Amino acid sequence: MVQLMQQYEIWRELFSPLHALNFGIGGDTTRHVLWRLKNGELENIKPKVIVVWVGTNNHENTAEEVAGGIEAIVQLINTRQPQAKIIVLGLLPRGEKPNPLRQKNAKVNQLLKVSLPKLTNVQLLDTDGGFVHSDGAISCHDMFDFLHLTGGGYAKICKPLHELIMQLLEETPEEKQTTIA
Amino acid sequence: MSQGDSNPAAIPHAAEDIQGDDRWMSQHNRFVLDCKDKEPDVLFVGDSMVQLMQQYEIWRELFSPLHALNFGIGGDTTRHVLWRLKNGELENIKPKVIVVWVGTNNHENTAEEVAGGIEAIVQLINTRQPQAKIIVLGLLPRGEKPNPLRQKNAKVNQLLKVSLPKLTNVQLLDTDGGFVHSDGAISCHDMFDFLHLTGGGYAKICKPLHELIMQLLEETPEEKQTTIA
Repeated sequence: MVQLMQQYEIWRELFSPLHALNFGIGGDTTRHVLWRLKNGELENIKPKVIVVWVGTNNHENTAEEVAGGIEAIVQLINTRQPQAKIIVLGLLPRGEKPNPLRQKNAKVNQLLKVSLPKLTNVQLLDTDGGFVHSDGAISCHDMFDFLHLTGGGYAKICKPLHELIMQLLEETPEEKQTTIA
Repeated sequence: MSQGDSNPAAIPHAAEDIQGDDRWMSQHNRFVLDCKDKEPDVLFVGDSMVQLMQQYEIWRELFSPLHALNFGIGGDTTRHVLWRLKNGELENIKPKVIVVWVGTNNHENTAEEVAGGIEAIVQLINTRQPQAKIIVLGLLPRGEKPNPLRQKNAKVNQLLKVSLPKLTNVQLLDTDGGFVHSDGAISCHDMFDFLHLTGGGYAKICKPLHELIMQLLEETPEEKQTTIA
Protein backbone atom coordinates (compact mmCIF):
# COMPACT_ATOMS: atom_id res chain seq x y z
CA MET A 1 0.00 0.00 0.00
CA VAL A 2 2.95 2.27 0.76
CA GLN A 3 5.09 1.25 -2.19
CA LEU A 4 2.49 1.80 -4.88
CA MET A 5 1.65 5.25 -3.55
CA GLN A 6 4.91 6.55 -4.97
CA GLN A 7 3.94 5.47 -8.47
CA TYR A 8 1.01 7.85 -8.65
CA GLU A 9 1.13 11.58 -9.29
CA ILE A 10 -0.25 12.24 -5.82
CA TRP A 11 3.08 11.34 -4.28
CA ARG A 12 4.87 14.03 -6.20
CA GLU A 13 2.10 16.53 -5.43
CA LEU A 14 1.67 15.96 -1.73
CA PHE A 15 4.67 14.14 -0.27
CA SER A 16 7.78 14.82 -2.34
CA PRO A 17 7.65 18.50 -1.30
CA LEU A 18 7.79 17.34 2.31
CA HIS A 19 11.07 15.54 1.61
CA ALA A 20 9.52 12.16 2.04
CA LEU A 21 11.10 8.77 1.47
CA ASN A 22 9.11 5.67 0.59
CA PHE A 23 10.32 2.40 2.08
CA GLY A 24 7.41 0.24 1.03
CA ILE A 25 7.93 -3.30 -0.30
CA GLY A 26 5.01 -5.17 -1.82
CA GLY A 27 3.98 -8.27 0.08
CA ASP A 28 5.65 -7.28 3.32
CA THR A 29 4.24 -8.32 6.67
CA THR A 30 4.93 -6.79 10.08
CA ARG A 31 7.84 -9.25 10.41
CA HIS A 32 9.52 -8.01 7.25
CA VAL A 33 9.11 -4.37 8.24
CA LEU A 34 10.50 -5.05 11.72
CA TRP A 35 13.55 -6.73 10.22
CA ARG A 36 14.16 -3.91 7.78
CA LEU A 37 13.86 -1.24 10.45
CA LYS A 38 16.26 -3.12 12.68
CA ASN A 39 18.73 -3.61 9.84
CA GLY A 40 19.56 -0.18 8.53
CA GLU A 41 16.39 1.54 7.44
CA LEU A 42 16.37 3.83 10.45
CA GLU A 43 20.08 4.64 10.38
CA ASN A 44 21.58 8.01 9.60
CA ILE A 45 18.23 9.76 9.30
CA LYS A 46 16.13 11.82 11.66
CA PRO A 47 12.65 12.14 10.24
CA LYS A 48 10.09 14.27 12.03
CA VAL A 49 7.20 12.05 11.01
CA ILE A 50 7.11 8.33 10.27
CA VAL A 51 4.07 6.81 8.57
CA VAL A 52 3.56 3.08 9.11
CA TRP A 53 1.15 1.08 6.95
CA VAL A 54 1.44 -2.69 7.15
CA GLY A 55 -0.57 -5.71 8.27
CA THR A 56 -2.88 -6.66 5.42
CA ASN A 57 -0.44 -9.36 4.23
CA ASN A 58 -0.11 -11.07 7.63
CA HIS A 59 -2.19 -14.02 6.49
CA GLU A 60 -0.69 -16.44 9.00
CA ASN A 61 -1.53 -14.29 11.97
CA THR A 62 -4.63 -13.50 13.95
CA ALA A 63 -5.90 -9.94 14.24
CA GLU A 64 -4.45 -9.78 17.76
CA GLU A 65 -1.05 -10.86 16.51
CA VAL A 66 -1.10 -8.38 13.66
CA ALA A 67 -1.97 -5.53 16.01
CA GLY A 68 0.84 -6.69 18.26
CA GLY A 69 3.23 -6.68 15.33
CA ILE A 70 2.32 -3.11 14.51
CA GLU A 71 2.77 -2.13 18.16
CA ALA A 72 6.21 -3.72 18.11
CA ILE A 73 7.09 -1.59 15.09
CA VAL A 74 5.95 1.53 16.91
CA GLN A 75 7.99 0.64 19.98
CA LEU A 76 11.07 -0.03 17.86
CA ILE A 77 10.70 3.36 16.22
CA ASN A 78 10.22 5.02 19.63
CA THR A 79 13.58 3.56 20.67
CA ARG A 80 15.57 4.34 17.54
CA GLN A 81 13.82 7.59 16.55
CA PRO A 82 12.51 9.11 19.77
CA GLN A 83 11.90 12.45 18.09
CA ALA A 84 9.66 11.04 15.37
CA LYS A 85 5.91 11.36 15.50
CA ILE A 86 4.34 8.19 14.22
CA ILE A 87 1.19 7.85 12.16
CA VAL A 88 -0.17 4.33 11.88
CA LEU A 89 -2.61 3.95 9.02
CA GLY A 90 -5.55 1.65 9.60
CA LEU A 91 -5.86 -1.42 7.41
CA LEU A 92 -8.27 -0.97 4.54
CA PRO A 93 -11.15 -3.27 3.71
CA ARG A 94 -10.40 -5.63 0.80
CA GLY A 95 -12.14 -7.96 -1.59
CA GLU A 96 -15.07 -7.07 -3.81
CA LYS A 97 -17.69 -8.33 -1.38
CA PRO A 98 -17.82 -8.88 2.39
CA ASN A 99 -15.37 -11.58 3.43
CA PRO A 100 -13.37 -12.72 6.48
CA LEU A 101 -10.37 -10.54 5.66
CA ARG A 102 -12.48 -7.42 5.96
CA GLN A 103 -13.51 -8.44 9.42
CA LYS A 104 -9.95 -9.28 10.33
CA ASN A 105 -8.56 -5.95 9.14
CA ALA A 106 -11.34 -4.09 10.94
CA LYS A 107 -10.53 -6.04 14.09
CA VAL A 108 -6.87 -5.03 13.84
CA ASN A 109 -7.95 -1.40 13.60
CA GLN A 110 -10.24 -1.76 16.62
CA LEU A 111 -7.42 -3.25 18.67
CA LEU A 112 -5.03 -0.50 17.63
CA LYS A 113 -7.58 2.15 18.54
CA VAL A 114 -7.32 0.85 22.12
CA SER A 115 -3.63 0.03 22.30
CA LEU A 116 -1.91 2.85 20.42
CA PRO A 117 -2.97 5.65 22.80
CA LYS A 118 -0.98 3.83 25.48
CA LEU A 119 2.22 4.11 23.43
CA THR A 120 4.38 7.17 22.85
CA ASN A 121 4.26 9.70 20.07
CA VAL A 122 1.85 7.72 17.91
CA GLN A 123 -1.63 8.07 16.55
CA LEU A 124 -3.92 5.94 14.44
CA LEU A 125 -5.32 7.36 11.24
CA ASP A 126 -8.20 5.06 10.48
CA THR A 127 -9.41 6.53 7.21
CA ASP A 128 -12.26 4.52 5.85
CA GLY A 129 -12.11 6.21 2.46
CA GLY A 130 -15.74 5.33 1.98
CA PHE A 131 -14.61 2.40 -0.10
CA VAL A 132 -17.34 0.04 1.02
CA HIS A 133 -20.65 0.98 -0.58
CA SER A 134 -24.07 0.47 0.93
CA ASP A 135 -24.37 -2.90 -0.79
CA GLY A 136 -21.12 -4.02 0.80
CA ALA A 137 -19.21 -3.85 -2.48
CA ILE A 138 -15.87 -2.22 -3.18
CA SER A 139 -15.44 -0.71 -6.62
CA CYS A 140 -12.55 -1.46 -8.93
CA HIS A 141 -12.42 2.30 -9.52
CA ASP A 142 -11.09 2.62 -5.97
CA MET A 143 -9.15 -0.66 -5.79
CA PHE A 144 -8.24 -2.00 -9.21
CA ASP A 145 -7.82 -5.55 -7.93
CA PHE A 146 -9.95 -5.12 -4.81
CA LEU A 147 -6.81 -4.71 -2.72
CA HIS A 148 -4.50 -2.13 -4.29
CA LEU A 149 -5.66 1.45 -4.65
CA THR A 150 -6.12 3.34 -7.89
CA GLY A 151 -5.00 6.94 -8.14
CA GLY A 152 -8.50 7.97 -7.15
CA GLY A 153 -8.48 5.60 -4.21
CA TYR A 154 -5.17 6.99 -2.97
CA ALA A 155 -6.51 10.53 -3.20
CA LYS A 156 -9.20 9.68 -0.66
CA ILE A 157 -6.62 8.37 1.81
CA CYS A 158 -3.85 10.85 1.12
CA LYS A 159 -5.89 13.98 1.72
CA PRO A 160 -6.48 13.37 5.46
CA LEU A 161 -3.02 11.81 5.74
CA HIS A 162 -1.37 14.87 4.24
CA GLU A 163 -3.31 17.17 6.53
CA LEU A 164 -2.23 15.23 9.58
CA ILE A 165 1.41 15.16 8.49
CA MET A 166 1.37 18.92 7.90
CA GLN A 167 -0.09 19.41 11.36
CA LEU A 168 2.61 17.28 12.97
CA LEU A 169 5.39 18.96 11.00
CA GLU A 170 4.19 22.38 12.12
CA GLU A 171 4.25 21.26 15.72
CA THR A 172 7.90 20.20 15.46
CA PRO A 173 10.39 22.86 16.52
CA GLU A 174 13.05 23.57 13.89
CA GLU A 175 16.36 22.10 14.98
CA LYS A 176 19.78 23.23 13.97
CA GLN A 177 21.29 20.24 12.19
CA THR A 178 25.02 19.81 11.77
CA THR A 179 25.82 18.81 8.22
CA ILE A 180 26.80 15.16 7.90
CA ALA A 181 30.33 15.18 6.41
CA MET B 1 0.98 -28.76 -32.21
CA SER B 2 -1.29 -29.15 -29.21
CA GLN B 3 0.23 -29.03 -25.77
CA GLY B 4 -2.28 -31.33 -24.15
CA ASP B 5 -1.24 -32.68 -20.80
CA SER B 6 2.44 -32.91 -21.63
CA ASN B 7 3.14 -29.29 -20.79
CA PRO B 8 2.08 -28.31 -17.28
CA ALA B 9 2.23 -24.62 -18.24
CA ALA B 10 -0.46 -25.23 -20.84
CA ILE B 11 -3.05 -26.77 -18.55
CA PRO B 12 -5.75 -24.23 -17.73
CA HIS B 13 -6.12 -23.64 -14.01
CA ALA B 14 -8.22 -21.24 -11.99
CA ALA B 15 -6.55 -19.61 -9.00
CA GLU B 16 -7.64 -20.90 -5.62
CA ASP B 17 -8.78 -18.43 -2.99
CA ILE B 18 -6.06 -18.99 -0.44
CA GLN B 19 -6.17 -15.58 1.22
CA GLY B 20 -9.92 -15.52 1.75
CA ASP B 21 -11.23 -12.53 -0.18
CA ASP B 22 -11.73 -14.24 -3.55
CA ARG B 23 -10.22 -11.36 -5.48
CA TRP B 24 -9.04 -13.40 -8.44
CA MET B 25 -12.51 -14.68 -9.19
CA SER B 26 -13.99 -11.20 -8.61
CA GLN B 27 -11.64 -9.78 -11.21
CA HIS B 28 -12.36 -12.59 -13.67
CA ASN B 29 -16.12 -12.12 -13.24
CA ARG B 30 -15.79 -8.42 -13.86
CA PHE B 31 -13.92 -9.11 -17.10
CA VAL B 32 -16.64 -11.51 -18.21
CA LEU B 33 -19.22 -8.78 -17.54
CA ASP B 34 -17.09 -6.31 -19.50
CA CYS B 35 -17.26 -8.70 -22.44
CA LYS B 36 -21.04 -8.52 -22.34
CA ASP B 37 -21.24 -4.74 -22.07
CA LYS B 38 -18.37 -3.52 -24.16
CA GLU B 39 -17.03 -3.79 -27.69
CA PRO B 40 -13.27 -3.50 -27.48
CA ASP B 41 -11.17 -3.21 -30.60
CA VAL B 42 -8.07 -4.03 -28.62
CA LEU B 43 -7.83 -6.50 -25.77
CA PHE B 44 -4.89 -6.76 -23.37
CA VAL B 45 -4.60 -9.97 -21.38
CA GLY B 46 -1.95 -11.19 -18.97
CA ASP B 47 -0.44 -10.67 -15.55
CA SER B 48 0.47 -7.61 -13.44
CA MET B 49 2.58 -6.20 -16.27
CA VAL B 50 -0.71 -5.77 -18.14
CA GLN B 51 -2.82 -4.87 -15.12
CA LEU B 52 -0.60 -2.12 -13.79
CA MET B 53 -0.39 -0.46 -17.19
CA GLN B 54 -3.93 0.76 -16.77
CA GLN B 55 -3.06 2.60 -13.57
CA TYR B 56 -0.72 4.97 -15.34
CA GLU B 57 -1.64 7.99 -17.42
CA ILE B 58 -0.12 6.35 -20.48
CA TRP B 59 -3.08 3.97 -20.70
CA ARG B 60 -5.55 6.79 -21.05
CA GLU B 61 -3.30 8.58 -23.54
CA LEU B 62 -2.43 5.72 -25.86
CA PHE B 63 -4.86 2.86 -25.40
CA SER B 64 -8.22 4.08 -24.11
CA PRO B 65 -8.76 5.97 -27.38
CA LEU B 66 -8.36 2.68 -29.22
CA HIS B 67 -11.25 1.18 -27.22
CA ALA B 68 -9.00 -1.15 -25.32
CA LEU B 69 -9.91 -3.40 -22.44
CA ASN B 70 -7.42 -4.56 -19.83
CA PHE B 71 -7.79 -8.13 -18.57
CA GLY B 72 -4.60 -8.32 -16.56
CA ILE B 73 -4.46 -9.97 -13.13
CA GLY B 74 -1.37 -9.66 -10.98
CA GLY B 75 0.38 -12.93 -10.26
CA ASP B 76 -1.16 -14.80 -13.17
CA THR B 77 0.72 -17.53 -15.00
CA THR B 78 0.01 -18.95 -18.46
CA ARG B 79 -2.29 -21.50 -16.79
CA HIS B 80 -4.47 -18.78 -15.24
CA VAL B 81 -4.72 -16.83 -18.48
CA LEU B 82 -5.65 -19.99 -20.39
CA TRP B 83 -8.41 -20.75 -17.89
CA ARG B 84 -9.78 -17.21 -18.04
CA LEU B 85 -9.81 -17.11 -21.82
CA LYS B 86 -11.61 -20.45 -21.94
CA ASN B 87 -14.15 -19.36 -19.35
CA GLY B 88 -15.76 -16.23 -20.68
CA GLU B 89 -13.11 -13.63 -21.32
CA LEU B 90 -13.30 -14.12 -25.08
CA GLU B 91 -17.09 -14.29 -25.27
CA ASN B 92 -19.31 -11.69 -26.93
CA ILE B 93 -16.42 -9.60 -28.18
CA LYS B 94 -14.59 -9.36 -31.47
CA PRO B 95 -11.39 -7.38 -30.95
CA LYS B 96 -9.16 -6.63 -33.90
CA VAL B 97 -5.98 -6.89 -31.88
CA ILE B 98 -5.19 -8.94 -28.79
CA VAL B 99 -2.06 -8.21 -26.77
CA VAL B 100 -0.75 -11.08 -24.66
CA TRP B 101 1.81 -10.49 -21.91
CA VAL B 102 2.33 -13.32 -19.45
CA GLY B 103 5.00 -15.79 -18.35
CA THR B 104 7.20 -14.01 -15.83
CA ASN B 105 5.27 -15.58 -12.93
CA ASN B 106 5.57 -19.18 -14.19
CA HIS B 107 8.12 -20.05 -11.51
CA GLU B 108 7.35 -23.76 -11.52
CA ASN B 109 7.96 -24.15 -15.23
CA THR B 110 11.01 -24.30 -17.46
CA ALA B 111 11.55 -21.77 -20.21
CA GLU B 112 10.39 -24.37 -22.73
CA GLU B 113 7.18 -24.96 -20.81
CA VAL B 114 6.50 -21.24 -20.46
CA ALA B 115 6.97 -20.69 -24.19
CA GLY B 116 4.66 -23.63 -24.79
CA GLY B 117 2.07 -22.11 -22.48
CA ILE B 118 2.17 -18.86 -24.41
CA GLU B 119 1.84 -20.77 -27.68
CA ALA B 120 -1.19 -22.56 -26.28
CA ILE B 121 -2.75 -19.17 -25.48
CA VAL B 122 -2.11 -18.02 -29.05
CA GLN B 123 -3.67 -21.17 -30.47
CA LEU B 124 -6.71 -20.82 -28.22
CA ILE B 125 -7.18 -17.23 -29.40
CA ASN B 126 -6.76 -18.32 -33.02
CA THR B 127 -9.65 -20.74 -32.52
CA ARG B 128 -12.02 -18.46 -30.62
CA GLN B 129 -11.05 -15.16 -32.27
CA PRO B 130 -9.81 -16.02 -35.76
CA GLN B 131 -10.04 -12.42 -36.88
CA ALA B 132 -7.79 -11.08 -34.12
CA LYS B 133 -4.20 -10.18 -34.77
CA ILE B 134 -2.13 -11.18 -31.79
CA ILE B 135 0.85 -9.37 -30.33
CA VAL B 136 2.86 -11.36 -27.81
CA LEU B 137 5.08 -9.14 -25.71
CA GLY B 138 8.48 -10.54 -24.78
CA LEU B 139 9.21 -11.13 -21.11
CA LEU B 140 11.23 -8.34 -19.56
CA PRO B 141 14.45 -8.79 -17.60
CA ARG B 142 13.94 -8.60 -13.84
CA GLY B 143 15.93 -8.21 -10.66
CA GLU B 144 18.41 -5.47 -9.91
CA LYS B 145 21.44 -7.49 -11.02
CA PRO B 146 21.98 -10.44 -13.37
CA ASN B 147 20.20 -13.53 -12.04
CA PRO B 148 18.75 -16.83 -13.34
CA LEU B 149 15.31 -15.37 -13.99
CA ARG B 150 16.76 -12.95 -16.51
CA GLN B 151 18.28 -15.86 -18.40
CA LYS B 152 15.05 -17.80 -18.18
CA ASN B 153 12.92 -14.94 -19.48
CA ALA B 154 15.40 -14.30 -22.30
CA LYS B 155 15.26 -18.00 -23.17
CA VAL B 156 11.47 -17.86 -23.37
CA ASN B 157 11.75 -14.94 -25.77
CA GLN B 158 14.30 -16.79 -27.91
CA LEU B 159 12.03 -19.82 -28.12
CA LEU B 160 9.05 -17.68 -29.06
CA LYS B 161 11.08 -15.94 -31.75
CA VAL B 162 11.40 -19.32 -33.43
CA SER B 163 7.97 -20.79 -32.71
CA LEU B 164 5.56 -17.89 -33.13
CA PRO B 165 6.24 -17.36 -36.85
CA LYS B 166 4.87 -20.86 -37.36
CA LEU B 167 1.54 -19.93 -35.81
CA THR B 168 -1.24 -17.85 -37.30
CA ASN B 169 -1.87 -14.13 -37.05
CA VAL B 170 0.68 -13.54 -34.32
CA GLN B 171 3.91 -11.65 -33.87
CA LEU B 172 6.39 -11.24 -31.08
CA LEU B 173 7.21 -7.74 -29.86
CA ASP B 174 10.42 -8.24 -27.97
CA THR B 175 11.06 -4.73 -26.75
CA ASP B 176 14.10 -4.62 -24.58
CA GLY B 177 13.32 -1.13 -23.32
CA GLY B 178 17.01 -0.67 -22.65
CA PHE B 179 16.34 -1.51 -19.03
CA VAL B 180 19.58 -3.37 -18.48
CA HIS B 181 22.47 -0.95 -18.25
CA SER B 182 26.04 -1.63 -19.30
CA ASP B 183 26.91 -2.75 -15.77
CA GLY B 184 24.09 -5.27 -15.85
CA ALA B 185 21.92 -3.31 -13.44
CA ILE B 186 18.28 -2.37 -13.75
CA SER B 187 17.26 0.94 -12.27
CA CYS B 188 14.40 1.42 -9.83
CA HIS B 189 13.46 4.41 -11.97
CA ASP B 190 12.38 1.93 -14.65
CA MET B 191 11.17 -0.88 -12.36
CA PHE B 192 10.29 0.35 -8.88
CA ASP B 193 10.71 -3.09 -7.35
CA PHE B 194 12.95 -4.48 -10.09
CA LEU B 195 9.98 -6.28 -11.62
CA HIS B 196 7.08 -3.87 -12.06
CA LEU B 197 7.44 -0.88 -14.35
CA THR B 198 7.23 2.74 -13.35
CA GLY B 199 5.38 5.22 -15.56
CA GLY B 200 8.68 5.96 -17.27
CA GLY B 201 9.38 2.28 -17.76
CA TYR B 202 5.98 1.74 -19.33
CA ALA B 203 6.52 4.64 -21.70
CA LYS B 204 9.52 2.85 -23.18
CA ILE B 205 7.49 -0.28 -23.85
CA CYS B 206 4.23 1.33 -24.84
CA LYS B 207 5.63 3.52 -27.57
CA PRO B 208 6.61 0.67 -29.91
CA LEU B 209 3.60 -1.34 -28.78
CA HIS B 210 1.23 1.48 -29.64
CA GLU B 211 2.86 1.92 -33.03
CA LEU B 212 2.45 -1.76 -33.82
CA ILE B 213 -1.18 -1.79 -32.70
CA MET B 214 -1.95 1.23 -34.86
CA GLN B 215 -0.32 -0.51 -37.79
CA LEU B 216 -2.39 -3.66 -37.28
CA LEU B 217 -5.60 -1.68 -36.80
CA GLU B 218 -5.01 0.15 -40.06
CA GLU B 219 -4.54 -3.11 -41.87
CA THR B 220 -7.87 -4.42 -40.65
CA PRO B 221 -10.72 -3.80 -43.09
CA GLU B 222 -13.66 -1.98 -41.50
CA GLU B 223 -16.44 -4.47 -41.05
CA LYS B 224 -20.09 -3.71 -40.86
CA GLN B 225 -21.06 -4.90 -37.41
CA THR B 226 -24.60 -5.77 -36.53
CA THR B 227 -25.49 -4.06 -33.30
CA ILE B 228 -25.60 -6.47 -30.37
CA ALA B 229 -29.13 -6.17 -28.96
